[in-house]
Amino acid sequence: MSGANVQAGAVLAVTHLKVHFPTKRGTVKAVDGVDFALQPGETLGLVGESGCGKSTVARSIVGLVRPTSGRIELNGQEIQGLSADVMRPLRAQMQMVFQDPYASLNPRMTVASIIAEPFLIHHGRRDTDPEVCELMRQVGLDASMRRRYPHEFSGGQRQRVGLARALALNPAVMLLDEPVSALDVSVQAQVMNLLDELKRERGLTYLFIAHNLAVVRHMSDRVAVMYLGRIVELADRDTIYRAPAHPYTRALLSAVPVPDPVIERRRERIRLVGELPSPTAEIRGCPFRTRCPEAFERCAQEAPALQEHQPGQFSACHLNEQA
Amino acid sequence: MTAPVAEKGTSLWADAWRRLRRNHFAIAGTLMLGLVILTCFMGPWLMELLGHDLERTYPERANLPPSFSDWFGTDELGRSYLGRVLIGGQMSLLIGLVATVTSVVLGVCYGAIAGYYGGKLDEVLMRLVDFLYGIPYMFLVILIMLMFSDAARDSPLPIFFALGMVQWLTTARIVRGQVLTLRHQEFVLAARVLGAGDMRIIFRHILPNTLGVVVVYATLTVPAVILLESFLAFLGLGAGVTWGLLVSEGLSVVNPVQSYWWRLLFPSIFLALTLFSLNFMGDGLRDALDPRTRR
Repeated sequence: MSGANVQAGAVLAVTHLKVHFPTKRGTVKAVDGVDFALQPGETLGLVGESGCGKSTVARSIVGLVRPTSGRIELNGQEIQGLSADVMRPLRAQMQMVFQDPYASLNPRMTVASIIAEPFLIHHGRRDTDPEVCELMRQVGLDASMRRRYPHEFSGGQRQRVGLARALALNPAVMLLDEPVSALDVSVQAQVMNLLDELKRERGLTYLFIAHNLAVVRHMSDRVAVMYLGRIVELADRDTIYRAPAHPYTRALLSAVPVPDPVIERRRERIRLVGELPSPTAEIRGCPFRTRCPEAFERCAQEAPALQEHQPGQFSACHLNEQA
Repeated sequence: MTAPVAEKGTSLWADAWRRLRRNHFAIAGTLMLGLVILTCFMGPWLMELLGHDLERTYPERANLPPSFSDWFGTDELGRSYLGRVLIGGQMSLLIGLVATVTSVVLGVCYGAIAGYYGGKLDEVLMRLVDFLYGIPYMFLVILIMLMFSDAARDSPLPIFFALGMVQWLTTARIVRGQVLTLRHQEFVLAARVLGAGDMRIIFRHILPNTLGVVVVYATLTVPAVILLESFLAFLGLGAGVTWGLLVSEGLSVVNPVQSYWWRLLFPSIFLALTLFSLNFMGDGLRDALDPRTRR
C-alpha cells in the first residue's frame, strides 16, 4: 500500500510502525501499523481522539518510546533503536514541542538557560546569550525577560519558549504534539500564526498533531486521521475536508461546529454511538465497526487495509474498495 | 547582535523567601534557633574567657541551686550547670546536623537512582529499604554502635553514623516518590528529546525540583534525630554530654528524697526550645515552598 505514500526524498518516513505496551490485563496496541512520509517543507496533520495513539507516534519517532516493530527513517537513515550516543547528533535535525506549556519547562531554570540547554548539550557552549536573544526575538518574546522563570510567563509565552528551545539546533523536522490545545482560543491563533511564519522563514517540515480538525485545517498540506492506533484516512487537506472517504472522518468533520447559527441548526450531525473498544481487546475485523453507522457483515470478518481509492486519497474502509 | 539588558526574574526561591518572611511563627522559630546555636557555641567560650573553668570540679559546691554566681546551679561535682547545658547543646545540635546531612545525602542519591531507573533495580532497592524499615530502629542503632570498637565508641562518630543510617530510609522513599512523578513530566521528556544524558537529567532537571520537599523534610529530621539521641542517652548509649543525657540524669535526681529541679528544668527548656523552633521552621518552609499557596 505504501507505494505512492512513502516516496523517495522524504525527510521523515515511518513504515509499519507498531508500538505495543504489555500490561497486566493484556497488550495495549497504542500504534498498530502506521505508515506515512513527510516531504521537505510539508505539514502533515495527524488527527484523532484521545487515546488513538497519535502522541505515541511522535514519541516513538523521537525515541522516547521504543517501537515494537517498524522502521523510522530520518533523511533515509534508520533511527529506531539507536543508542543514545549515536542518536544525539541526529536529534539536532528533529525536535519536538509538547502539549502542556506548564509542564514542559523546568520551573527551576531561567528561560535563558532553558533555551541555551540545546547548545550546551550539543556543542558544550555556554556563551550563548546572543543566540538566546535572537531565538526569543524570532518567537516573539522580549529578550529582556530572559532571566525570568517560567512561572512568570503566560501559557502562550511559555509555549513560545518551548518553541525557541526546539528551534535552537535548527532542526529540519518539528513534531508538534498538540502545541495549541492547552491555550486560550485567542492565543491559539497567535501561536498558529507564529508556527506558520517560522515554517516559511526556515523551510521547516511539521508533523502537526491535534484532536481538533479545525486547527489542523489551517496548518496542514495533508491530513492523516487515526483511529485506535491505525491511520484510517490520509489525503491532502482540501480533499479530506471536501470529500471525506472514511465514515470516521465524516463523523469527526460533522462534530466541528459551524460559526453560523442558522447553518449550525440546520446541518445534520453524525453522532457516533457505541463505545471505544477496551484498549486491550483483541480486535477482529475493522476496528471502527463497533461505532460505524455503515458497518456490514464483512467489517466484522476482515480488517480493511489503507488503500488509495483515488489518486492521493487513502482510506481503510471496505466501502471504498473497488471490486 | 547585541543582547538587551536582562531584567532579573523572581526565582521560586525568592518567591518562597517572600512568603516565609510573612510567616511570623517561622521567623520567630528561625531567630530562636539562631539564638540557641549562638549561645551554645559562644557561651562556653565566653565563660572560659571570664575565668570559669568548666571542666574543673568543686566537690564542696555540689548540687547548689541557681544563684547569681551560678545561674543554672551546679551539678553533683560542683561544675557550673550553665556550662554543662551549653556544652551538651553543642553536641546535640551537631548530632542533629550531621545525622541529617548523612541521611539526606544517602537518601537523595538512593531514592533518585531507584526512582529514575525504575523497573527491577527500583524493586530491589526499595525492598531493601522496606526490610530495613521492618527492623526496630533501636535494634538497628544498637547493632551499628556495636560494630564500632570500644575506642571509637567514645567519640560521637558511631552515633552520627547510626542515626544517619536509620533516618535515610524515609528520605529515600520521599525522593523516590518525587522522582517517579517528575521523570514523566514533559520538561524531562523535552530534555531527553534534546539528547541530554541521564546525569544531566537527574542533576539539572529532576533533583532541583525535589529540593523543596527535601529541605522541609530535613528541617523536620533534625529535631527527630535530637530526640532519638536523647532516647539513646536514657539507655546509656548516647554520645557523651548531650541534652538527652542531662535530662535523663536530671530525671534521676528529682524524686521525693532529693529535688535538684534545675538539673531537669534547664536542659529540658533548651531541648524544647530547639525542637519547637525547628518544627516551626519546617512548617513555614513547607508552606513557603509549596507553589499552591502562592499569595
